[in-house]
Amino acid sequence: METKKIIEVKDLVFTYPDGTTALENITIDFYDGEFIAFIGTNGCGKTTFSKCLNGILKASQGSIVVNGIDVVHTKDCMELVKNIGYVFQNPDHQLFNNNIYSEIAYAPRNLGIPENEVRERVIEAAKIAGVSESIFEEHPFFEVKGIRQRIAIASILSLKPAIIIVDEPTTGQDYKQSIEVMEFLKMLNEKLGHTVIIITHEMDIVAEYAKRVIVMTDGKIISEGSVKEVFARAELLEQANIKPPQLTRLAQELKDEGFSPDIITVEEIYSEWKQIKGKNEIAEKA
Amino acid sequence: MDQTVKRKMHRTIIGFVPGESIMYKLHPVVRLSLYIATGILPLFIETPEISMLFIAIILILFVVANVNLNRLKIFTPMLITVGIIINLTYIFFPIRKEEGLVMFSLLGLDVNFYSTMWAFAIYLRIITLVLSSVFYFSTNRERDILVAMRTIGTPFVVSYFIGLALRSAGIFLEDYSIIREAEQARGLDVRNLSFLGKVKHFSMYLVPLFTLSIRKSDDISTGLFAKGTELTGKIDGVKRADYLRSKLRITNIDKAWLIAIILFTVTVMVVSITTGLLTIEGSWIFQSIEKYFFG
Repeated sequence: METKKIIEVKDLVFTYPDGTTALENITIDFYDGEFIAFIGTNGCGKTTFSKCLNGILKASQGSIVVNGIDVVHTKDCMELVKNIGYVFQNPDHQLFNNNIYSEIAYAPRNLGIPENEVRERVIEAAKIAGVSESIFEEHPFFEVKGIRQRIAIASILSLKPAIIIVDEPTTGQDYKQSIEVMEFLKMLNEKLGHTVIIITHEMDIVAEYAKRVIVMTDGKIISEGSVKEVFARAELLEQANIKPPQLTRLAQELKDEGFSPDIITVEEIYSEWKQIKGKNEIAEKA
Repeated sequence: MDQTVKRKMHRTIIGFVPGESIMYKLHPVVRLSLYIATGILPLFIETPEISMLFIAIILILFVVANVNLNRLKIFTPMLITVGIIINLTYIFFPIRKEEGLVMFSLLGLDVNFYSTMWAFAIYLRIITLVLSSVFYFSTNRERDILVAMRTIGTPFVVSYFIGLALRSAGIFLEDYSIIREAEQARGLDVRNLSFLGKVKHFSMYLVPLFTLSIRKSDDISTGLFAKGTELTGKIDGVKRADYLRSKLRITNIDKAWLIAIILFTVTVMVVSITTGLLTIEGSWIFQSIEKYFFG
C-alpha cells in the first residue's frame, strides 16, 4: 500500500534573530500515519524544526508543505492549525483560559466552529485524553502536572489535526504517567490514524513506541530510518552524543556471540538468546 | 564537548545586544554614567535644534555600538502616541495664553504658538530619553548593570533585588512569548481582534503569567537559600567575593571617559542655568516660525 506524503521539507534553513543558525539545509518527507521520534542533544534543533513545521517559526530559507499548504508563505494560520497541532513541552505555557472546558474549546472557537460542534469536540477530545468532565469548571493551571499535560493534549485534539507534534511528552512525569501518555499517543496513531511526531531524550520510549527515528545534531539530520536501523548505527549515534537503549547496547556488546546489533525489545533479545543457546547446545552435543 | 558558540547577538532583557561592540571596551560604570548623562542632559536643553543634534548623536552611538537600528521600529507606535498626547495636552492646556500668539484655529480651538513650540521641545526631550534608555539596554546585559551598581557602591541588598527584578522581567517576557506561540499554534490571529478585544485578551494571560512568575521566583529564592545566600552580601561578616567585579577593572581610559562625561554634563548644566543659550527663545527654529507667523 502506498502511503501518502503528508509533510515535505526541502532545503530548510532557520536562523534566530541572534544570528544562530539552528537548522541547516534540511530535506525530508513525512508520511501519513507515521509515529516519528526526533532525537538529539539539547540545542540540536529538534524543537526549532518542529516549530517550523507548525508555522510558529517562519523558515529563513527553503520550503515546507503540510498537506498541500505552503507553511512558509501561507497567511492562513487557521488552515494550518487544522492540519498540524503542536503540544508544548511545558503544559503551563499553553494553558491560559480560566476553566478546563474553555481551554479545550479555545482552538475550535478560534476556527469559528458553531458552539454545539465545539461542545461535541470538547467532550470527545477530553474523553480521548482522559480528562474527566467533572473537572471542566476547574482552573487548568491548578491541576497536577499529569492532568495539565492531558488538558494540553486535549486542547490540541479538539482541533482534530491530522498531525500532532508533542514536545517531550514524558518530561517531568513518573514511569506510570509516562507510559499512560505514550500509550495514549500510540492509540491516537494506531486507532485514530493521526501522524504523531514526538521530541524526546528517552531512548527506551523511542524503542518501544516510534516507527521511524530522526537523529539531529547541530541543526542537521545525520540519520533517519526505522528504530532498528537507526539504533544499529552506533557510530552515527555517538557522533550525535546519543546512546541507544541499554538492551541494544547489550546486544551490540554481545555481537560476537551471535546477537543482532539492532535488538530493541526484551522479547527480541530473549528470543535470540534462546536460539543461540539452542545452537550452542547442539554444537556441544555434536 | 565544547559548546561555546560565538553569536552575532546575545539575548537580554530588551531583546538582544550585539555579540561584539565597541561599548564593551568600556567599563560598565562608564556605560552607566553615559546613560545617566544622556538621561539628565535633555532636561537642561530646551532648544529643539540642539535636542535634534543630541538625538542624532545617540543614533550615531547606536551605529558605532553595532546595535541594529531596526530594533527601534517597535518603539515607533509608542513615540507617535506620545507625540499626539503631548500636542493635544498643550493645545487643550496652553501656556503663555495671555500673550495671545495664536498660529491657527483647529476645530474651534486656538493653537497657541508658545504651546506648540513647548510641545515640540518636550517631545524631542522624550524621544532623547527613550533612545538613550533603548541604547543603554541594547548595549548592556543584566550583569553589566549589576557590576556598575556594585562598583559605585550601591548596597548589596539593592543590587540583589534589582538583579532579581531584571531576571524576573526576562522570565516574564519569555513566558509571554511562549504563550503567544501556543495561542498561534491553536489558531489565534490577533490581527482580527479589535483594540478592546486585544486588551480583554491580554488580561487572560495574567493568571498564567503571574502564577508562572511566582512559581519561578519561589524556585529562585529556594535555590538561593539552599546556597546560603545572605541579603547582607557578607559571609561571616566578610564581604562576598565578586567574580565579575574582579574581572572588570576600571582602566585609565575608563577614568578619562568618566571625567569627560562628568565635565561635559556639568558644563551643559551650567551653560543652561547661567546663560540663555539653550532656552527655547534662543532657538533658530523658534525665531523663524515666530517671524513667519507674526512678523
